[in-house]
Parts: sequence; structure tokens; C-alpha cells
Amino acid sequence: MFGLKDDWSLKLPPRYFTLEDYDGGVARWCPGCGDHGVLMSVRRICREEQIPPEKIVNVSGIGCSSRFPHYMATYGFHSLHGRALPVACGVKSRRPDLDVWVSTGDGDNCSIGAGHWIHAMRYNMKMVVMMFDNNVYGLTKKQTSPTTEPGFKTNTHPRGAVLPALDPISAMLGMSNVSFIAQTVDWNPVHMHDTLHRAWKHPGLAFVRIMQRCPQYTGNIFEAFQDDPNSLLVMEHQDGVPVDPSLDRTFKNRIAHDPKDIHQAFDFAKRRDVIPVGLFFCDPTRPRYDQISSVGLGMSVEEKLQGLEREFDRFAL
Amino acid sequence: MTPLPVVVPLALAHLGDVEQVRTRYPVLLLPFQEDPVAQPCAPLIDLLPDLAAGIGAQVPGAAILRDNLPRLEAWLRAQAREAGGPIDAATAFRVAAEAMVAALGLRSEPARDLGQALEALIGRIPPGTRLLPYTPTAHLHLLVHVAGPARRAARAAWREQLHQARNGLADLLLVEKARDGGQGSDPGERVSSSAGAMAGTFLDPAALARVVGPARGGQRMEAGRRARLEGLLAVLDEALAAPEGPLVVLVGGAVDAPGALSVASTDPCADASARFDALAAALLRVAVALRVARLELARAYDPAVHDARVAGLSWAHLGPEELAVLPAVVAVESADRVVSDDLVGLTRVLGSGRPVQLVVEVQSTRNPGAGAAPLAGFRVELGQLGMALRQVFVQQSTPAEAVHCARGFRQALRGQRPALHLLCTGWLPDGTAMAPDPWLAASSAVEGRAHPLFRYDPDAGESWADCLDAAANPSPAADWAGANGSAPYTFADHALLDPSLAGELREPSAEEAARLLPLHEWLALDEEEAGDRVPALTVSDDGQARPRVPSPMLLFACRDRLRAWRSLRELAGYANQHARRAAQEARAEAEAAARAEREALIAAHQDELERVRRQAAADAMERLAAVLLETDWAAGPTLAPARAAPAAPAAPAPAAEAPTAAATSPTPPSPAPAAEPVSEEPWVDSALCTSCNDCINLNGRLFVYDGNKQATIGNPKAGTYAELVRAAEACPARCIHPGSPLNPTEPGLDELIQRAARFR
Ligand SMILES: Cc1ncc(C[n+]2csc(CCOP(=O)(O)OP(=O)(O)O)c2C)c(N)n1
Ligand code: SF4
Repeated sequence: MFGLKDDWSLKLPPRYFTLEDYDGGVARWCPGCGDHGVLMSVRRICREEQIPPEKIVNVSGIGCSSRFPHYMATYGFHSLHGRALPVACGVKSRRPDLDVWVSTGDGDNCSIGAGHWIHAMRYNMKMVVMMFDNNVYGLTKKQTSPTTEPGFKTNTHPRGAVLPALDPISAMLGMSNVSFIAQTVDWNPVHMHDTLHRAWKHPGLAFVRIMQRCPQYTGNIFEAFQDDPNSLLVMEHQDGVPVDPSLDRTFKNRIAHDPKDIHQAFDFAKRRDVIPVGLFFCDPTRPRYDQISSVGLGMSVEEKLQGLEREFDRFAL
Repeated sequence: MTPLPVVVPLALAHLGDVEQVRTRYPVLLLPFQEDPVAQPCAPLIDLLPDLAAGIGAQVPGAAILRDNLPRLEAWLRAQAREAGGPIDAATAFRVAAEAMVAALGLRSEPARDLGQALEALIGRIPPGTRLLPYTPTAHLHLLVHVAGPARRAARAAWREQLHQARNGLADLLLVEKARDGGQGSDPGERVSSSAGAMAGTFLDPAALARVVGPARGGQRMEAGRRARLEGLLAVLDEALAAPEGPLVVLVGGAVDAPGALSVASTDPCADASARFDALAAALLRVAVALRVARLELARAYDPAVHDARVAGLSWAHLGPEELAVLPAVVAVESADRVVSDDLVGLTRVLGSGRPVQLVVEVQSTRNPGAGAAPLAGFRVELGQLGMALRQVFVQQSTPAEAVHCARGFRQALRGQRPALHLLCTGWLPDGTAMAPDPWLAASSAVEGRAHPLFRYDPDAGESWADCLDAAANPSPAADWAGANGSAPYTFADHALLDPSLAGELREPSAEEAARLLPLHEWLALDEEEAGDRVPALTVSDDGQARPRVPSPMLLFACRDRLRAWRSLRELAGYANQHARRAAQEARAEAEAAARAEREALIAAHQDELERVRRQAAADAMERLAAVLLETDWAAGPTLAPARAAPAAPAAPAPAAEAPTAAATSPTPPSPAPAAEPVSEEPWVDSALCTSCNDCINLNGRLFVYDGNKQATIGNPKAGTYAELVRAAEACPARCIHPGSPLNPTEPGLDELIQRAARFR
């Protein structure tokens, strides 16, 4: 009407953030470490969404990847080994207004943190959990982790890991009240960015396993996957991770997968010939403990006292 | 913050804060171009994204700039509003840019990047562009903008002609002077002194005097001719020496614009006619002198024949080139005054054929000359009156639609006819702006059929279809315009914007409530069909949608506007559905054919371009590899020419031979049939870069980060091929493609090329 465009009104947010506003300093990971790319993806998403840095909390456990909060110019909590999730859940249940990002490793999350992992998944508080899976303990210099493939030699298993690797995706598909499970690889930054972005938009706990190269200790375990783009099986669906057209040329191995289909998700999770990337499972309707636990957060002392009185009155004779 | 009035048309209710509405002003006044289809101006809101899109993504601040374009727009809007008149666009952009960068409070690096992107943006503004805010004189600024530069160009050409004729005459007289013979002095000197300062410039007086001097005989010029030539020379010299007059004379209107002369007047029509006559008479004297001078120079002037003809010339004999030299004479009138006091004057000036521009400011909610009852009676359609005179260019437009209005002015000024411009500005006669905003009000007048847009150009052809164009109206085939599915926007909606008409709408009584019929439906019925139904307009009253019943006068006006619109539409060829459908089909067919042809041509052109580039690249690789590659680099890696297999400079070929081979081969080597082009230049698939610093650490000039902190090639000549290959091998994302070596003398190339092969 009147030649006015649809965006007829000039509504301008008061502040504007650039990548530098999220830049907490030069990352001290090894050159070629996959963690650098994840960091850039997260900074980019924050910029695209123009999230005020003071509204973001990065929480981590212990490990190379857990140094992540140091490199984001946001609030951060570099916690204890395996305890990233309980700390993040604490933050979220008291400050549901904050944007919580969790960085954890395969060691941090799947060994010492495994107990917390199950409960955090079930709590389903809105946050993005990034598990940097380099198949090894990096910070402590090459010990077997739960996701180390059998036969891979480490300091703790010099003749090769002996047990079948833990499969975090299958494990989570069996956990109660999970709502979002995705997988991506650090050497495809476009897909990684889009996966993390999709995770950020999910109303609940969004768990993303990131296959992460550790040139220092797991050397070339992903090289074959890197050299053959067809070894990535890109799961496609309108509710899944949107696949950027720039990937069409190189990543042609696609498969349709409805993220509501948990059984097919199991089938894909078991594949070892390819790395399935995209959204395995998503159910945005699952209950969120952050919404339940934060009820009454704004109450004044008087209101709380009144509430208590009311409760006590119920027992009055 | 300017809130909406309490009662507004339903269609405007969502606008909220009026100041935040992104109107189609300010408008960028673009520099003059001879090309008649070139845009004379463009709304900022349209041009800004185009300007920004032209800045390549590799410019580091491009993304920040694009994110903040609305902010830049807001600063520019504020600046234009404050200036109250046209301002230099580049300066305004620079000021807005500085204010924006300061307000964003960016860190130093992104601030610098954004600054560079803004500079690139400003560099894309054509020099001389101005920014025009919406003001009560916006239409006059548009007129001066369109008229002025074209006249200036015409004048330059005209002066050139005067100069030529003048020099021709001077030469003739010079020779004649030389023939006069002198008193003892050297004939060359005599020629020289009689020719004045010009002599040495245009001829060699001594040589001339030797050839034609009295000693050599020759015919003397007859006295009458000599006197005539001297007279002509005097007229031309006087014209050349005269200071440049105004480009536009505004009679009865005032605007502060370069080249415009504003003249106060109580009778603009008559005064503009008189002005034109005076200007034309002065021009006629010079134009006649020029014509006679040309005849004289061609030795074709015969006083017996020509003297009488020359004496009979009037302004009507002036040709287009000559008329283009005159200032555009513009009478600025109000429709109200013309209709109440001066319809005769108006018809007289339009009927006289003088190419005078009549700008008539029209009120969209008040009939001209109606006095106290602004909508009583049929409205005098001045546009139809203009068309009835048949030889007049007529446009009905509004400065709110700047491009339509400016194009109309340009079309009018190109012809040699009187022109009538009926313009609705959104300001009331007492100078107050219509609520909620004059631009919105003027646009609403077009939308509500109070002021339909059209142009009538008698020069455009023989039929109404050729001459009359009403296509710029919203939904030209419908009775009322209505935005995507919303209720039609009627004249009664528009009338809500005039507070003096507030009494023309009332709440329906309880008894009427059951018989209400939407106004546009009611208007589609005749009185009998309408029966006892009560027409109701839904308005927004304090944010609530409420029915209102229009008064009989307003209903009459609605019918009157609708009838006027229908007749205009019919004349313009929109009424006949059969004709329309047939035309549409034919047009679609023709367009499809034209499109196919165009596409074929473009494809052929692209192929040819590609072929030539490929060949040029192959040729040049051998000779000027470094220089040319940089040029190609600007085209980006995906546009890089497919490598022509035999031309690969793998082994440095003798410099002179390869180009000869390519040049003599009649058909170029066909592009390699490979699905993906193989680039000659190094490139980085930046989207895949993980920002690991490996390449940057290797050579921070060869590789640089873009605005997304992803690597791209900085200067391809700032590093060796060995570095490119090492970087490609080190890159964890495998996104570096070294291309082919730039320097054919780099040591160890054979091995490097082999190593690079896996990154093709
Ligand atoms: C309670 C406790 N136990 C053990 C350690 C030693 N430790 C530090 S990091 C780490 C494993 C880290 O592996 P992972 O989580 O995969 O992170 P990465 O370094 O591979 O990124 C261990 C066992 C510790 N810091 N605290
Ligand atoms: S040890 Fe491995 S995981 Fe840790 S920083 Fe180095 S490359 Fe990255």
C-alpha cells in the first residue's frame, strides 16, 4: 500500500554487535585443532542473532575444549571435571533469561560426567550443549576416552583400546525426556554452524556431538572422512538442520530423515561406514525443568512469607 | 514520536509512530543523462540496497554495513528532514556514516572495516547526486532538477553554433578589411589589427593579406552586405557576451535551487505568457541572426527573397533546438484559484501553444472553487479539461511518487507544447501539512482515487491508447485499490485525513446497525439496488475498528470520484475486459518471445565473452601473467575462466610464441568438458574455512581474513607458489586451492604443481 514495503517501519535495536564483541582473546589450542572452528561458529551465531554478550554464559568442565569460555567475551564458568552440566543447569534454573552454552569433551561428558549427563538430558533445560569428541583425553596427553575406537593406541592402552567405543548418540536416544540430538563435524564449518544455529533455536536442551580433529593425539583418525565428502551422510528434513546450498556441490550423500522418527535415528546412529550429520532426533514439546523450577523467581520476601503462611495455615487446627 | 490521529483509515491503523514510517522520501536526484530512459531520480529506500549490494562480500565491513543499512537510512532521513531542501548526497552520506559509526560504538577493527565499506558505498554514488526531502516545494525541486541540466547542455551546444557562425562572419569581414587597403602600413599588420586579438588564433593575417590583398585584385563586398554582416556579428557577439540567464523561471512559485529564478505574481498564467514572449523575442533576434549568418556563410542569402521572410518570423518558428535554449517558463497556480477566478486565463495560455509549463497544485479532499462546501457538486476535472484542448501535454501526478512526477516533467519539457501538471502535494492551502504526514496523505490521494495518476502526451501517437497512460495507479483495472486482500481503500477512507471533513461521518444508529453494507459494496449498486441498505465505512477509532456512515455529500463525492476514475480508466484502455485479456495474452507471448531472444542473446554474449576472456587469459598468461591475473581476480574464483587445456603454463613457454598460436587459430580451444571449472588463480573456499590461522601464519599478506573471519586470498602476488601449496596441505578444512603458478621461473615448480594437483 502506498508503495510502502512490508518492512515499513524503522525499528532499530539500540546496540549492534560485531564478531569482536564476542572475542575473548586468541585461543591457545594447537594449530589445526578443530576447536578453533567451533569457537568461530559460536561467535558468528551470537553476532547473527545479535545476542548481547552480557546475556550469554559459557559453561565448561575440564579439558582442552573446556577452555572455550575463556575465548568468549561473555560470562563464563570453567568448572570442574565432568561438572559442566550441573553448573549450567544451576545457572539456567535461577537465570532463565540467560543464554547458556556448554562446552564439554568426550572424556569430560562421557566418563566422569556421565551421571550428570543423564539427568541434564532429562531436565531438558534450554541450552546448547556442545560435546567436542576427539576420541581421546587431549589435555592430559592421550588417554583412552569412552569414545576411543578399539585398537587405537593410547598412553593408558599402549597396545590399543580394548573395548567397543561408547556411542553417545545411541546412549542419548535411550535417555528419558531427551529433546534434541544432533551431530556434525568440525571440518565442515558450514554444516557445523547451521547445526549449532538450529540447536540454539531449539526450546530445550540441544545436544550436539561435534566430531573434532585433534592433530596432536588422534592425528589422522578422521582423514579418510575428510578426504571423501561422500563419507558424510547428510540427514535432510524440513524440521532438521537446514542444508546450505553451498554444500550441494561437494556433499552429495544425502538421506531423508524425519527427526521425529526415533527408530530410524537408532539405525543411523549405528552406522560406522559413514558419519551421519544433521538432526537425529527432535521433540520440541518435551517438558522443560527450567520453566518449572523458575516459577516464582521474581517474588519479594513479603510474598514468599505470605505464601509460607498460607501453607502453614493449612495445618492449623 | 508522532502518533497517529485518533480516527484514521483502517488501512493506516498499523502504522503507529508516523516518524518511523519508511516513506519513499528522501529521494536521490541523480545527475543528468542524455538518455531519455535514464532515471532522473530514485527513492533512497530503493537505491540504498542496490548501492550496498554492489560492495563485494570480500570487503571486510560489507556484512556490518548490510546489517546496519536501516540505521544509515535513519540517519539520512533525519538529515534530509532537518535540511528542509536538497543537499549534496555524498556529503550527507558521509555525515550519516560518521554519526552511525560513532553511535554504534564499535571496537577499532570493525569500526575501521565499516568505515571502509561505507567509503566504498559513498564511492558508488554518482557525483553530483543530491538528496531531496519531502517538502511543500519538492515538486518544484523535481522540476528544476529535470529542466535545468538539460537546458544547460542545450545551451552549450547552441553557444558552440553561435561561435562558429560568429567566427565565420569575422573572417569574412577581416578579409574585406584587408582589401580596403591601408595608409602605408604593412597589409599583414592591417589584417591583424582589424581582426583584433582573434587574428593570430584563427588565421595567418600576413599570408591572408598576400593572397587576397588589394594588390591581388579580387571582388569587393557590396556595402549593403557588409553592413548586414556587421550587424549580424554584433548580434551574435552580444548574445555570446551576455551573462547566462536562469534555466528555469518560476512565475508565482518560489524555490531555492541553482539556476531557478522565482518571480512573484498575482496572475501567474498571464505573467508566464508575457515572460515567455519577452524571452522568446530576445531569442528570436539571435536565432534569426544565426540563420541569416549561416545563409551568408553559404553565400545563399538573397535579400530580395529572404528579407521579407525574416521579418515575418515569430517565436512559433523557433525549432526544438532553439526552444531548448530558453529557460523553462513555469506558472505555479493553485487549482482553487484557477477554477474560481481564471479558467479563461488557463485555457488561453494552454490554447496559445506557447510551451509554458503550468504547475497546478491540487487539493485532494476539496473540489477546486467549491468554497465552503468542499465536496458539494461535481468536481471540475482539470485533467480532462486539459485533454479536451488536445494539443496540451497533461500529467496528473504527485511529488510523493517522485519518479512518476519527474518522468512526466521530462516528457513535457522534451516536447514543444504547453503542459499542464496537476500535482497533489499533501499540504493544505494554508500551508499546513495534512495528517498524519504529507507524504502519506498524497499517497493516500492516489490510493483512494482522489487523485489518479496519468499522463497524456499528444506527441505519443494518434489513439487514446498511445497518448494516455494511467498504468501507474494501484490496481488500475479495479474500482478501488486495496492491498493484498484487505478492504478496498475508497475516497471516503482518504477523506478521513482532512480534519475539516470530520463531520461528514457519523456513528450508525441502533436501528441502522442491521442494515449496514460495506461502503465499496454499496457504491457498486445503483440507488434502487441499494434499497434501504446503509453504507458503512470501517474506520480505526482509537485503535478499534468501528463502522461510520458517510454523509450524503461524502457519498456523492465518492460516486463522483469513482465515475471520474472509471472514465479515465476507460480512456486509458482498462475498462474493456475482452481487449484487456487479448492484450495480456499477446503481451505475454511477445514478452516470452522477447525474453527467449534476449536470453539467447545474453547466452551468446556470455559465451563470446567467456571465449574472449579465456583466450585473452591464455594469451596473456604467457606474457603478462602477473598483471592480468590480478584483473581477473576481481571476478572471483567461480567466474574464473575454465582452463583451456593446451594453454596451461605448466612449463614456461617462450614468451612470443604462445600468443601467436592462439591468435592465428580460427576457433578457440573449446573449454574443457570437465563439470567444474578449474581455476588458474589461487582461491579459498572461504565458507569452509575454520579460521585456524594456519595459512595466515604462513603468509598474512597472501592470505587474509574476510568480514566473517574466514580466510580468502589477499594479494596473490604477495607470496610464492610454494607457500600456496604448503598452505593448501596444511589447511585442515582443505579449502585452499593453489591454482597455477604465477611466476613461471619459481624454482621447483614441477614438483609443486604435482603436489597441488590434489587441491584442484
Ligand atoms: C576430577 C578430575 N579427574 C581427572 C582430571 C584430569 N583430566 C583433566 S582433562 C581430562 C580429560 C579431558 O578429556 P576430554 O573431556 O575429552 O577433553 P579434551 O581435552 O580431549 O578436549 C582429565 C581426565 C581432572 N582434571 N579432574
Ligand atoms: S591436544 Fe588436541 S584437542 Fe587439545 S588443543 Fe591440541 S589438538 Fe586440540
